[in-house]
Amino acid sequence: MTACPRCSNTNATALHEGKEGATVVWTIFNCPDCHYHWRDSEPEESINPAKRKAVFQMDTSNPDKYQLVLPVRE
Amino acid sequence: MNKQSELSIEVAKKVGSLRDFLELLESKGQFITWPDEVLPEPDIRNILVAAGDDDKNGPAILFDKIKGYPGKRMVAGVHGSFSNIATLLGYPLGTPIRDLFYDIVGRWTTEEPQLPFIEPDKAAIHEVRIEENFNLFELLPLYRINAMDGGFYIGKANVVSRDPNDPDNFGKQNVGIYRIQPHGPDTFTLMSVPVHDMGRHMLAAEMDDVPLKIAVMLGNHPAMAMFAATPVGYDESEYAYAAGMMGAPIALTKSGNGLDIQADGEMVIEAEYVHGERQYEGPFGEFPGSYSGVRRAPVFKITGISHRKDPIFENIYIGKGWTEHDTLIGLNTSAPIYAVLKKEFPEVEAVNALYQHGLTGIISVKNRFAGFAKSVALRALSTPHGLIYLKNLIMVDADVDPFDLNQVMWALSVRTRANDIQVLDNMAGIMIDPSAVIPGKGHHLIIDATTHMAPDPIGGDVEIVRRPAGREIDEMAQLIKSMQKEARK
Ligand SMILES: [Zn+2]
Repeated sequence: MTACPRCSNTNATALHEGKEGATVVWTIFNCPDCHYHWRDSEPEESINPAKRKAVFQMDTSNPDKYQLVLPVRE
Repeated sequence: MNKQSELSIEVAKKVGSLRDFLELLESKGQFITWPDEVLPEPDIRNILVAAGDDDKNGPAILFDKIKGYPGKRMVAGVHGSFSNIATLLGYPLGTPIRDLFYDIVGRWTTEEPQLPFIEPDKAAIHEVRIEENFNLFELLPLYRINAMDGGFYIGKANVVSRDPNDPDNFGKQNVGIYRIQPHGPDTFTLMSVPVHDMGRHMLAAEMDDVPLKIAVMLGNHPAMAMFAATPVGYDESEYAYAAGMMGAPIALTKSGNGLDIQADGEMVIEAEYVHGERQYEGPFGEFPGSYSGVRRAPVFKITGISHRKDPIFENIYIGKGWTEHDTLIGLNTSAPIYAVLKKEFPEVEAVNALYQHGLTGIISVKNRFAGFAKSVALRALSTPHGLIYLKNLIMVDADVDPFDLNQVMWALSVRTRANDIQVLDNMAGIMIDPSAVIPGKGHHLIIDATTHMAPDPIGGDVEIVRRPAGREIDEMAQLIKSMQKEARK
């Protein structure tokens, strides 16, 4: 389990490894909570929570904060 | 009546697929393969921004040495410059944008479109078939388009869906460009709101509890990429429209889940709508040059994939302009506004809505009397696109080419008085305008930069210089260019 750079939850897992021959050159991670995907070879502005702008961070404890693109039929 | 030139029909007949078009671009020096190894981030976006800066002549760029994706190929910038668009329309490199605009508005055609059907077992797109163990992250060389995007977006897919309550109606089959964010190996979100045809199909499927199958087409015929974004009527086929606009065939076949798809595309991802499920989508760097926020978007699950051997993943750079997105949709944003206006005001000469999907537009019109251009502007604001997109509108005379900003700035400089500026506040606007105080509301601004006419006082004793123009001058300009080329040798 890995910490997500966007929501700080620690449920992220590796999704796919990029390889050159037998060597793993990067890994894509996936956060099941906020659905952020990232590659561990990306620049820090995208994947280091300390370098990411606060406005781009997410709080998954309050989903209603995020608008529905299409209404869900009750 | 199709007014296409012989040359453009010749070109269109040669181009039946993305691969054909890349070959044609290559023959004109408008397609390059990046020679070095690149990292998915930030190399690809950096290179595409650099290429996109040249909106006149930037090339399409293929990447085939993407670190961690051995053997995979990705292309962008296919519609990234007006010279590439000119090539598709059958014109020489460097053709003025105004001429391309007139070509497109002249192509509105009623001729029977050519849509030959290829049996699926003979269609190139089905060369490789995958029925299980889907993994988008392995299949496609995905990368983050802009640094703060919420995922690795697919920005240039043509998505096919059918009205779930009228699934046999070819016309009601919708093909549109919707952005796609892969979520898991076999799931993705698709951004469509209720007013889109796709949004209507999703709502209808949920309402009546019927399945909704879609086909996500990647690496499409260049006319499909260009014209699928043009609003056509709900019961008109985008395939028919694109083939009609090209005056040449676009071959279709069936996807594994029964939809009509391009036979010579690079890849089709077949999927089914997951009723009632929404997942976080975004942010995404949008055409105004700002990020959309995080929203909860509908989810699709993959049911099958077909692709050509060694498929080319075509994607787009979109963000703060100038980008391929501006070139891709600009002329097709301008043409429908012109078509509506021209019917009621034959005095309208041309419409330039290239800037940020028309957030700023420029319309040239033969002024008839004082204030006339302002009334034409008001009509433009009530066209389907103008309603929310045309935020700033500059009206110029017929002797000003609205696609030549030097001329537009001249008109602004010498033909505008303070009382020629009208502000309509508190109007409808687009949700993603970064300047909006309340998203979805905003102003319309009209700057009338046309000549003052009676009964307005003209003021002073002004005569405008008659600037030599026309074919003779154009040919002279070409001659000077070639002399210069010689001199540089
Ligand atoms: Zn997260």
